[in-house]
Amino acid sequence: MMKDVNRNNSMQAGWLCAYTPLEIMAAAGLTPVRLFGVEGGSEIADNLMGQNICPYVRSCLAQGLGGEAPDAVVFAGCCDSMRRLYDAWSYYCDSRFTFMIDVPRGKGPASLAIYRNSIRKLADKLENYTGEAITAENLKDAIRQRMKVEAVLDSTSPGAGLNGSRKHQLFIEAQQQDSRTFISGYGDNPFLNKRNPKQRNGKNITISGNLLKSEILIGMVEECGGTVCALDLCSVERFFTWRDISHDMIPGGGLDELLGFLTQSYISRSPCPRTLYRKTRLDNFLGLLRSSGSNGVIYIPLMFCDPFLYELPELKRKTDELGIPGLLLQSNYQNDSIGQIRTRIEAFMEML
Amino acid sequence: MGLAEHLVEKYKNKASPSLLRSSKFWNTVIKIANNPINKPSSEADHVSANFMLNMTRDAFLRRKPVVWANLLFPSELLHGLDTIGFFPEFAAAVAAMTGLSERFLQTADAAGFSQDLCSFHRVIIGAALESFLPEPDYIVCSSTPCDSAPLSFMFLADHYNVPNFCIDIPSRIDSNEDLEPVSQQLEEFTLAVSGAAGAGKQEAVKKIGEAVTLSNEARGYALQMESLIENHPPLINGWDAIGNLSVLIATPGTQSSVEYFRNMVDDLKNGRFEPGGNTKDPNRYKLLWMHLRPYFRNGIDEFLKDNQAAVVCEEYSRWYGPEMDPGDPFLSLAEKMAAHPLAGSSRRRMEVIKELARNHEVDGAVHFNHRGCRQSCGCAQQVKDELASIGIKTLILDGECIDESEHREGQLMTRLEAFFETLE
Repeated sequence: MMKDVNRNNSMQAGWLCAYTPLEIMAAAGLTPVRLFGVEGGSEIADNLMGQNICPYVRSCLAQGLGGEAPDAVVFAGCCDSMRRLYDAWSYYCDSRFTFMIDVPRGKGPASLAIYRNSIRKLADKLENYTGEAITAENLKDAIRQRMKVEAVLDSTSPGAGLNGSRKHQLFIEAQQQDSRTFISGYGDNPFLNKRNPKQRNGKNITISGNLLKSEILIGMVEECGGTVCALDLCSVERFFTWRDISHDMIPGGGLDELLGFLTQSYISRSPCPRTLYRKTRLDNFLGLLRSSGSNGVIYIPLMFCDPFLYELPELKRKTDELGIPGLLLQSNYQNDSIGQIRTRIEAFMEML
Repeated sequence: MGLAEHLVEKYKNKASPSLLRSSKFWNTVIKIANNPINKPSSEADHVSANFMLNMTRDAFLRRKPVVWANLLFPSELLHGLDTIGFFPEFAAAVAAMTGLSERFLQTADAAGFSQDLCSFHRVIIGAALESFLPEPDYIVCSSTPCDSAPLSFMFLADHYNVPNFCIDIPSRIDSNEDLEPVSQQLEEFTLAVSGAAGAGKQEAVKKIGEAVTLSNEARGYALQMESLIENHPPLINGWDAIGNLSVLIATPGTQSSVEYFRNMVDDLKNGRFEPGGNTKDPNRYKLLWMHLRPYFRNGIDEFLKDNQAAVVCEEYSRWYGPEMDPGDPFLSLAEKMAAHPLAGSSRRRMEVIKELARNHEVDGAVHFNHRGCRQSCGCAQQVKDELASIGIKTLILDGECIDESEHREGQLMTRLEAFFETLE
């Protein structure tokens, strides 16, 4: 699956967490490709990591064990499950390159220093791995390319009229292709209004969670008469790093300055539930609900996702205060139990 | 009946938030604890019991600023700052021991916290919502060993409306450049708290240096103790050692810590512990125990004894970290935090475990998988495979430390029994 999406000859590097600085991988001559795991469960991966670990992580381990992942994989130490995945992968999988970056919870100077030190080490190790020097110029170029990718993705905001499934698909494509390929396919082609399924008029639903394996759930909401107006996922709304940063803000200095710029940009992005700045996270989430005119929220965190599960009571309390009902569906990251999920979504939509 | 059981019997039906905030209650508790009938046979245990009781009393009575901290936050800093450290994860274990955990779990459940979350932290949340914990002035944790403390503490800091700190620790320390940001965060925390504790920063740094000196002294005895525990046949039961985790976390930086470890060395040298963990034949089934154990009343201990198995070592109750420099306390404490095997990749943890297994010449190992713990369960199989590489069989035992309703005693015994058969 991974090889199919690689449309040029550069080597691929796998990544999993939205805090992974893709620009450094690209500057080292690699195509960053997000891992989405395998279809169906994997008993071996389940046994190696235990059943009470994030199912996305287990699915990705199965991908590594099956030899379906790139030779190089960059992990992020964003949660216990991811840290253990890095360990299991390094122990059981046959990858030529693995590295885990440290993702701090805070965003003070010391936390920024931890991230900066970590991505500098990543850059050094990737240079050794690819034999290609990471220069200020090629890092700047990689940043510019990512900015263009995100500009395309940003044009899918509610006004674009794209339906939820197509929007999600587009974001996934952007995470599995190199920047230039993606831009050449969609850039300057604002877009898709003409040739894509449009949003229907229905109750506006926000889907909130980590990441989805496919568009099945979104499609189900749409089939039940809903309009998926926002996707509060780390693969969609929380995927942006550069949305609020313009090209002319890229510093003109050397590599160190650029690594500092990358650090600041990544740590300042729309936060994930794991971070210490819960208020920003809540404000962003509630802002998304308001701007998209949500009538309801479907929470679909991955099972055993501690950051989301600790946040959930507060999210629900806030949305209750706004009079926006919520439905909690825990995801085992497999597209099974479809019938059961559909029934619950139907009941929720009727209630709205 | 031991002290804990005595106190539970006396107070379990009367426990209330107001009782815990009454000086009269604490005077009675301490009187009972110091009664010769209840005095532990080991002087070390007496020192630790007194320390824990006094610390908890002072926290409830708010005799000084109270700082909540998680397991890997260095207590030297809290003692140096003249604050009262309170470690809620221990409080959860005590709630389980005293049969109070169920109601707190129900409270957390009703507040919307998923049953998939770690029960230690669900109990903490439930107890906090019911005002059964001493109010903190500050909350602080390290980003390791697990996500639960930073995440639950964030909720609790909002609940109590107090400042919250999380000390980020890099997973890989290659040079002082990696330690500097940790040191900087500890210094920032000190700056924030030293005002509240009534000490200026300079004075606080001096006192933290003094706490570091005491910690170094305790470390010397702790290392001697660890060396003695490696004796064959074993001089102490590992279950007792697991109970010492609280001492290792809460006391460093105090005179009590020095006294505790000095007494442990003395007790071990003079054979004051029952050798081999009460087994009839101390050479049979020497076990390495990994991760934690159930804290509510259960029959595992008895079962091990009946099967002539002794836990001779476990991984957490050890002093990790090098000798520190009192003149540079923040960098030293940063180094101590980062040196803990749970702070980095599983590779570091496995090296420590293998060394333990070799030094104690164990026959087998048990990795207790606490249900909601991702950081430990997620690498249990690696640990098992790594121990297998040096010829040691491991049982991965799924269970619960705090939530008794999830405890399956019969299943655990059956699995242990089957495991012992493989060790024949």
